[in-house]
Amino acid sequence: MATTGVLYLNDRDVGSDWSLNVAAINGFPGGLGGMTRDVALNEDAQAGPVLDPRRIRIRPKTAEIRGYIDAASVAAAITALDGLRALFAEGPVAVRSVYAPDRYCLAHLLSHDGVAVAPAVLNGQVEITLSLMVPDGVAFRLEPDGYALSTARTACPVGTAFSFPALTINGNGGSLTNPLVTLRDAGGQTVQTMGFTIVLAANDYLRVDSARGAIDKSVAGTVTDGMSLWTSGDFPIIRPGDASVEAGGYATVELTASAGTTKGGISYLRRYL
Amino acid sequence: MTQLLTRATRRSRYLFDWEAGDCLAAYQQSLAANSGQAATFSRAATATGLDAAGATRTFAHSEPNFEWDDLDGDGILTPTLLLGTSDRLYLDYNGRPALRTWYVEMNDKTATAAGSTRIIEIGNSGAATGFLNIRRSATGFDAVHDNGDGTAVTATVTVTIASGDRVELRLVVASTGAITLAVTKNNATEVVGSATGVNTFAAAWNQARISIGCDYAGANRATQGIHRVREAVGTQTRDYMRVG
Repeated sequence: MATTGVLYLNDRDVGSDWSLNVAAINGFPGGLGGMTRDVALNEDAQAGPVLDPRRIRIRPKTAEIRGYIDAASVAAAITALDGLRALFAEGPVAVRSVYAPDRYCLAHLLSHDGVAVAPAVLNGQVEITLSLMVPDGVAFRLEPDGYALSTARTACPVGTAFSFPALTINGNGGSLTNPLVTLRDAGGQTVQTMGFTIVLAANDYLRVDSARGAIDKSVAGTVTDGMSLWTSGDFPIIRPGDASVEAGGYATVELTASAGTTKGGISYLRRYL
Repeated sequence: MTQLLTRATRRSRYLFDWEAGDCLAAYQQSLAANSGQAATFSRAATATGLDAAGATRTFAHSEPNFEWDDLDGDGILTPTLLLGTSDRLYLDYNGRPALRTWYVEMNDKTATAAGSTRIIEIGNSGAATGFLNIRRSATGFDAVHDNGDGTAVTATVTVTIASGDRVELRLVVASTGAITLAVTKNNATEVVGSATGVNTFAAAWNQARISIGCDYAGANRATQGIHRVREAVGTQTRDYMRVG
């Protein structure tokens, strides 16, 4: 009988579904298991080695799951082993663990090694090692965040890596002239703005996608490219460096305009090193 | 100028797999299904929903309206696509839904049942060529398989629903065309209705659309917060349909 509630692959409990007792979860980002983080230190002659967040490079990571299948028979062990292998046949698998149950990362199978060692195999026991690659190099929060935007400062909780939000700016049933997005750090200092030269009509909205570096304009449902409307600043990025994660203080985003009532929204996925 | 950000994507194991949260997380705010089917959305009005902080968020004309609820009681707010009486959403669907299991997870927003508003409907031309749907009924939920030659079978489950209930619907479609509907409310024991009689599928099943929150023509809309819609091959359990 395998222990359950430790590791989930595509939301399936490896203990209950494949009788897999997990011995080690190594190398996954986001605190899913033992973590290997690729952080470059800034060698400063006077201050000594310091951690410079601008020099953190997120690269694909290799990770590993080790354990043993404890099935009722040889046949059941082989079935469980095949089930695990088949899970990875369609590409990336969502990996989630008891160590950070609100996060997951996507992992490819690089290689697998199922060793059926006699005489244990006669009892349905197989040692197994799954070698994986996490191409994103980060873990994601299970559910995305989404908040309303207005002239008030909207707090944007962040993970331990940058988040790239998508914003919408609404004509809001009237008109809105030259909207401006302002991103502030937890202390209230402006760290980024992004301005647009446009009059949004009642049924219009702008969609600003920081991940894709794209701006779309919707006029009553007809979407066209809106990059030419962007006239100042840059795409906002939600950064841990602008927040105080321990104290719960986060960067804020606000939406102002030359004229009109501002309404809109911001949505993003928290990412974790 | 910020750098373009790519992200690994996961292929679904389901024939059809649509989830509101993934639409937001896909970095493109697309309403396409994880399983690849393209989506068409419209709403000729503004709308409001609750954001992840519980504040009211206004969505523009034609902008999908996401609302965050603690759908499964895990303390993490989950986005649902709030489909109101002005919204219309449909996705490509090519196939004959015989020997399939359909699954819908949603936040029921209908305090008082209102006739036969649609949760999902597969079909694009009405009874002439058949359709399959799940509906909110006056006494709970029902499902209809109309094979297009004038014969329809209806599966029902009687259940009392309050606004805000987490509802899971599971519709099993046998190869014979018989259907069985099951309903789970707030993670309680699943209530499985009786199977209908046989209803042989139309010889030419040519229904290239699945509508969510309305019927094939965009009518019979209801206000519901849809979290997930899935279709799997064969007869599958609720627990199977819950996981990715």
